[in-house]
Amino acid sequence: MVTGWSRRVAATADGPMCASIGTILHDDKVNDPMTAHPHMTISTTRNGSVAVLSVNGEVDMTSAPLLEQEALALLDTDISGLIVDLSGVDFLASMGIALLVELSKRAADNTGFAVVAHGSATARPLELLGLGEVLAIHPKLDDALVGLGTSPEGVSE
Amino acid sequence: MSSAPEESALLFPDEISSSGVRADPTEIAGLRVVTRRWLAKLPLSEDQRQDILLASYEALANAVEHAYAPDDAHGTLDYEAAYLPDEGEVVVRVVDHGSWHDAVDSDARRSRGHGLTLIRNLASDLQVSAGPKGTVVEMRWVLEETDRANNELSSHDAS
Repeated sequence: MVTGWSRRVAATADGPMCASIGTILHDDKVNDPMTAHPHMTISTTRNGSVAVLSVNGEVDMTSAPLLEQEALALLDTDISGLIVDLSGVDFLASMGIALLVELSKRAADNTGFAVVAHGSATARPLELLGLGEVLAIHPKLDDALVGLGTSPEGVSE
Repeated sequence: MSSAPEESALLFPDEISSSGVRADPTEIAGLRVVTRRWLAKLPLSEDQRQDILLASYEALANAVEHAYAPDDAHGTLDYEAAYLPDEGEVVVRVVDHGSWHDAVDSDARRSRGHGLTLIRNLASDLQVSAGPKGTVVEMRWVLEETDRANNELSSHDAS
């Protein structure tokens, strides 16, 4: 059983997946490098005009409001797309799921919205609720970036 | 693997239970931690562990959100989770001593609809019995024959 430890992994960095594009992102402005909650951290990076909210830890009824606040603040900016990356999340409660649906509705008008999720803790409950049809869910961040029309290889300046 | 080195010598507990837990988001997050540790020692597939963990939390969250008025600091709940290999199942029970009110405060409490739907999808069986003295939510999982591989856990296999 490994799940309990993914939080520790997450705490060390944004995870290998993000690190691959992390170097490119340094030139871009980083709105809010790290927001912490006792069992959840969020970091925001920009890939061109797309914002990536990388969430680590557990999204439950105590931490979901913080995620909501961060995501809504980003939607108020001039981004063309928002990606919520749940790769580092090892628990996603219904309140977090409802938030994703809400965000996709709010973003719908002029902003792209995508979710990165895989595995038993995140992708599975989303699928069980049939949200694969409602949300753009990608197993990897790179796929989500491509889905929003941004090249994961970046963004040359 | 987590915790204690000599653990293999010990049997996992068949059951965890807490009664009189304050019906509050922080308390149930604590129960989730305990449950996750307990599940980690049971011979279950990763999917099933996550299903049980999530459904249990949703039932607890339901009790916190709906059993008591928001300003009621005295509401409590009872929580029990049992591994029953002879019956071939895991049973989790959440008992509150309030009466479920529809969450009228729709804005902040949006999880409600999803919560019960999720439990129905996650558990093999769900029984909700509401009475004047409270509500009992009982969830069951039929144990799977095989412990499916946890391959999907090796997630960060980025190039």
